[in-house]
Amino acid sequence: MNDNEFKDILRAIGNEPVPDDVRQLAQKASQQFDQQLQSFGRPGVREVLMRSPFAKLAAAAVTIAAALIAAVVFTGGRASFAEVLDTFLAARTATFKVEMTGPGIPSEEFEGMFAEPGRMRSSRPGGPTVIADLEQGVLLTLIPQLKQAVRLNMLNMPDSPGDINIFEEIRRRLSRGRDLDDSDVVFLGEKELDGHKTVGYRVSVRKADLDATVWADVETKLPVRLEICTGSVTVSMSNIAFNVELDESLFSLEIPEGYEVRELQRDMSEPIEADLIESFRIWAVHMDGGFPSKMDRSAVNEFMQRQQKKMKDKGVEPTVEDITALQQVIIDMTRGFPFVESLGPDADLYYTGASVKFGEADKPILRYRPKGSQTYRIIYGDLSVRDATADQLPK
Amino acid sequence: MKHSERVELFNRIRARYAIFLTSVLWKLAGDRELFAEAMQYTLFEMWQRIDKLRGDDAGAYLYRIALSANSKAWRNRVGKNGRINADLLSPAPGQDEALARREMARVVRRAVAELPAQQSQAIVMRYLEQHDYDAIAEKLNCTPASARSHVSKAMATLKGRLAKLTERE
Repeated sequence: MNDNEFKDILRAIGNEPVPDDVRQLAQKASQQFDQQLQSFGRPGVREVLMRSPFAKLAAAAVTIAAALIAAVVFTGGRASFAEVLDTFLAARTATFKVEMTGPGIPSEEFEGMFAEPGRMRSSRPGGPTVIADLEQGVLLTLIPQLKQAVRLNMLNMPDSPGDINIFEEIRRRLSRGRDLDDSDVVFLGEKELDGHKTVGYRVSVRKADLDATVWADVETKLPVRLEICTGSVTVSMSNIAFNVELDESLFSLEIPEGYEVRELQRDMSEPIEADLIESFRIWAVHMDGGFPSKMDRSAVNEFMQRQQKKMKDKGVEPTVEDITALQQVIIDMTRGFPFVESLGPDADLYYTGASVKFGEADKPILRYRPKGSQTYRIIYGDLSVRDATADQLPK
Repeated sequence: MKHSERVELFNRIRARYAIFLTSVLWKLAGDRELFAEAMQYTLFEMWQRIDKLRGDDAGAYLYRIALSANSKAWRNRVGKNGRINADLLSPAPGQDEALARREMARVVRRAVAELPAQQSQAIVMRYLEQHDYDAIAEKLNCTPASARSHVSKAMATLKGRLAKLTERE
C-alpha cells in the first residue's frame, strides 16, 4: 500500500459520521458514570479499576489513601491528608531519594527527579543515569565510564508502568483514594524527621498484602517520607522536594557525543500465561534445561549470575554485540514473570520447578487458579498446560 | 477542591466537550462495544484528572485522555489473541472492496491505538480530524514545522506497526 492510499483510509475513517445510536450510547455511558459517581467506591468504580494492569495494587492504594484521609477526619485537628495528597498530586516536578529492599534481591538506592509529563531521571553515585520518558516510550541508560548508551524502546505502553516511573505510580495510587471512605489506619504520632516536625500514619491492608507509612510535615502538609510495601519489596521515598526548578536538559533523550549506542526493545503490555511459559522456555534454553530455583524476583539474579559465569568461563572478553544480545534475552526472559505477581493471594500458587527438567511432561512446575475459576491451570516440564479440579491436583 | 465543586466542574467540562469526545472516540473505535468502553475510561480519567482540565489547554489534555482510553479499550479487546489478516493489506482480486476497506479501517484503528501518545495525537488531528498544521501545533504546543515532523514520524511508525500486526499471524 502506498502513502496516498494509506492517508485515504485514515481520511475515510475521519469522515465517518457518528450514527445516532452511537450518540445514544455516549449518553448512556455518561449516565452510567453518574450512577457510579453517586456510589463512588462501590463496585461500579472498583470494576473499572480492576481492569487496569496495576489493578490489585491500585485497588489496595485506594483503600490506603482513603484510610489515611479517614484517619485525619477521625483524629481531627491534625494535618488534612487530603491537602497532603493534593500537593503531591499536583506537583509539576519533584526530587527525592528512593530505596528498594526485599529478601533475595540486592537493595537498590537512587536519587530521583520527576517532571511532568511522565518523565523521570534516576542516578546512582558513580553509576549509570537512567532517563525514562513515558510519552516517548523510551528508557535511556547512560553509562559515562564506558561512554555507552542503551536505548530501550518500550512497546505497547500501559497507562501506569510503575516499574519505569515510580513517582508517577505512587501518585497514581494515591490519587485513586481521594474520595473514598474506607479505613484501616494507625496514627503514629509526631516526630522530627529530616529536619521537619512530622505526623505519621501507618496503613495496613492485609487482604491486598500491602502496607504503607506516610510522614507529612505538620506545617506544610507535604509528605516528607513515604514507605510502601508491595509483596516482598519495600519502596521508601525520602528527601522529597516539590516544584523545584529542573532544567529540561536533565530529561533529554539525546545521546551525548562520543557515546556508543545500543538499542533494545521491550513489550510493556500486561503479561499473560503464554508470556510466562515463554519466560520458562527462555530460562530453560539458557540455563541447561533447568527452571528457576524460586518463583520470585530472585530468579532474575540467578539467571544473570549464571550467564555472567558462562561468559567468564569462555575466557574471551564478550563483545558489545554479545552483551546486547544477552540484555535482550534478559528482557525477554523477564517479561512473563510479573504474570505470577499479578495473580494475587487467592490463586493458590504452587511452584515446584526447581527440581524439574525441561521436557519432563509428567512433572508439574507451577500451578495456579485463575481468578473466578473453579479449576486450576498446571504448567508441566514440557511447558504444556492442563486444567485440573482441586481433587485432581498432583500430590 | 470540594467534592461539590469537582462535580460541577466535571459536568461543565463534560457538557462542553461531549460532541468532540463522541466524535473522536467513535472515529478511533469504529465499534460500539469498544466505543462504550473507551467512553467509560475517558469519563473516569476526566474525573480523576479534573484539576488539569481547568485551564486553556483542557482540549489538548482531553485528546490525550481520549486516546489513552481508546488504547486501553483496544488492549482489553485484542489481548494476545487478536487476529489480523495479512491479506487485508492487499485484498485478493474479487474480494468485496467495501468489506475489505472496512476491515482495513479496523486494522488501521488498532494500529493507531498502539501508537505512542504524542504520535497518535498527531495522526488523529491531521487525518481523522483533518486539522491543518497550525492547529495541530497549537494543540501540541510546538511549531508548525515540529507538528509536521510529528505527523510524519507518526505515519512511519503507524506503517511499521501495521507491518508488525500482520507479521504476528
